[in-house]
Amino acid sequence: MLATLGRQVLGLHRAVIDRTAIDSDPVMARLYPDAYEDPADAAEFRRLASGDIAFARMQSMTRMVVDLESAMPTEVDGDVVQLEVDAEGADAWLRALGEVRLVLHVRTGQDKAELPDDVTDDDIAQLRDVIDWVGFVQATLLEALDGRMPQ
Amino acid sequence: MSAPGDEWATILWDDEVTLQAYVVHVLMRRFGCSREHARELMELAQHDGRALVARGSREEQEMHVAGLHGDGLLATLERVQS
Repeated sequence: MLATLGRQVLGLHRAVIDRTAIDSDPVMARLYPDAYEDPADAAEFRRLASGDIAFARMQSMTRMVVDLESAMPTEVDGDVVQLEVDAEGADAWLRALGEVRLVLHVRTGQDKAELPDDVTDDDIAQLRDVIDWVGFVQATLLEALDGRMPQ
Repeated sequence: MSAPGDEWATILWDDEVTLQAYVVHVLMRRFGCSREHARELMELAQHDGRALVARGSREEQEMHVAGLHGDGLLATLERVQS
């Protein structure tokens, strides 16, 4: 599930690099916000910087997706996977988890008319639970990291 | 439009969804500040809606803003009023 969401977010970043991103999509506005109040300056910054930002994000997200897809489910419960990540991997995971939350947050806050016809209220409620769950995973990872970092 | 010697600032904006602990983590890593200072900046952004997190040349601040965007945070740069 998380890997699938990650792959969808990868598609958004890919579109930025390919210059096929839909600028009016509120998800894109949140992932690639204006860097300047002035629209011309913001457009120029986006033109120069968004490709590099998208590339770095694809690296982080790919790391999480590959880790998830190569993990073996535990024998006890097929839904549980146990993963070990190093410090660099942990940073990639933190960014990737945060991004998944941002995308879901924007999507679940959108007017239903803007979403595909088959999206139900139950789907949206489930996605809100996913936002909480991903937040829990991210918080747990941060706590584990902070335990090792100088205060 | 930008004279040499102009000072620019990186502004972090409040964000209703990103975890506080993640914002603190990003500020510590990116600006090398203490946990206490990073927490103060995060709380300032939350309370005032925005917080100045760095200042210096325009190039430097553009790099900070790009990095913060890559980390999923809302940031802008603006000229420091002297």
